[in-house]
Parts: sequence; C-alpha cells; structure tokens
Amino acid sequence: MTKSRIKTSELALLAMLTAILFVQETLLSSLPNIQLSVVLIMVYAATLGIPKATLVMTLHVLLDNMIWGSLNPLTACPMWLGWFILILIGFALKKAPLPIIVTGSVIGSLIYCWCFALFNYLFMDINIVAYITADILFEILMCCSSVVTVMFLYRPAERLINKYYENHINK
Amino acid sequence: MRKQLFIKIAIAVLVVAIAVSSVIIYKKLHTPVADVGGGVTIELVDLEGNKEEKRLDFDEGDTLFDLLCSNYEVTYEETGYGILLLGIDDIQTDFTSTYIAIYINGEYSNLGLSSIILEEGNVYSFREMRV
Repeated sequence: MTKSRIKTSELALLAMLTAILFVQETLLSSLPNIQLSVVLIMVYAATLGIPKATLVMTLHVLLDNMIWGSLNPLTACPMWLGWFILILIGFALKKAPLPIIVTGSVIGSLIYCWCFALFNYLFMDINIVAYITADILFEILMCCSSVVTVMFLYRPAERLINKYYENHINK
Repeated sequence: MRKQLFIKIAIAVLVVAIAVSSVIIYKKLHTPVADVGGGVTIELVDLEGNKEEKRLDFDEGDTLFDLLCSNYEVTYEETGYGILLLGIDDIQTDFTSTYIAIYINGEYSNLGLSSIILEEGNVYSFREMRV
C-alpha cells in the first residue's frame, strides 16, 4: 500500500478553505469588487504553498463560473490567470512585512483586472484603453477592498491556518 | 501596539474615503445623458430573428433607459454594476439561458444599458440571445 501524500485532515482543510473562498465571494457578489478573495488567496498561498493554493483557487474558479453561467474561456481563463499571479505574489511575499504584503495585494488586484482587459483585447478585439477606462472605478474599489482586508485580516487568518497545521496535520 | 492599530484604522478610513469619492466622481462624470435632443431607432429582435423597429425622439438630458421605459414594457434589475435588462415587451429573458445583447449601429456594445449615451441617428438594437 502506498503512503498517501495528503492527509485526510489536510484534505478537509482544503475543502473548507475552498468553501470559505467561494461562499464569501457569492455573499459579496452584489457589491462590485468588494471581496475577501484577495486576502484569502494570498493567505492560502503563504500557508499552503503554490500547488495546494492553486488547487483551491482552481476549484473556486470552476464553481464560481458554473454558478454564474460564465464557464467559458473568455471569463474563466483570465480569472484563473489573475488569481494564479496573485498566488505567486502571495507566496513570494509570505515572509515580507505587512505593508509590503498590502502593496502586493494592490498590484495583484490590478493585474487580476488587467487580465480580463487583455483577454478581451486579444480575443474580442475591443479597445483596451476604453475597457480599462470603463473599468477604472471597479479597479479602484477592488484595490481599496484589498488594502483594508489584507491590513486587518491577513495576519489573523495566517495564524489560524498555521495553528491548524501545527495542531492537526504536522503533529 | 495601539499606535499600530491607530495607523491601520487611519489608513482604512482614508482608503474607504478614496473608494466613496471615486464612486461619486465616477457617477458625476459618467451619467449617460444626451447632450442634445434628437432621434434614434430602437430595434427589438427575438430568438427567431423577428424584428420590431421604432423611431423615437429624445430630449436633452434623456437616457437610453428612460427612452426604453417610456415606450416599452421593460423588466430589469438594479445591480451594483448597473441596470440588468431582463425583458422588453414580448422578449423576456432569465439571464441564465437567454439574455438581451445590445448592438449600436450593428456593432456589439461593450457598455451596459446604464452607460450608453443617446446619440442622434444611432440604431440601438436589443437582441435576444442564447447563453
């Protein structure tokens, strides 16, 4: 019998983290770009590592697009790419001081928004400047939301997941 | 510790203020009202391709949404992203299996109903589409 590479308790944690990510985004969907997704994905990247955070994020992207009826390459691909870049940023900044992580969250938020602009420009032949101009308010809102949530929730969420790992998975 | 919390709260208040002012400024700059009066053509096209056309006049300060509401039976939802058009007269959609796409002079509109400005001579086509 081969040894499993992932423990049941860790699998349960990943499922729970996916549910939290998906439910908060669905609950906040009526508020444009006001979300906890950025802080959660950055914390997941810092605590779980890139492969597991990517797994959680991919499930979230699939669920989100299936629920909202936007499961097409033009929406799902830039969304996945945007979140994946945020995972890389979150992982790279995992030992950085909070102000740097907050800055990273703003850059990640902007890159996430621009991924949609880029895909629409490449495949829908839209005017990218007009798209970004029309999207600027939503970009500002996403950045503001990221700053506030990362500032207040990043460290507590990171501590909570690390504590769970210490008590249930790495013991 | 207290100083840190104070700094965080101050930054949060500043950021929220930036967000609120951005929304206010954006709304003021992007109110899609007509600069001058004129006339436009409104087309309704259902899934089978049946077309109904009307020539309508508008005044300065009118919006496309106002024009639709005063001439058709309009079903819509107000969302944080603007007005979500669900139905016009006999064309009724659920936004899950069918939706209404907007074309301006034959070109797909990247703007939603709340952001389109009325312009003299334009043809605004509302086409029922499958998702």
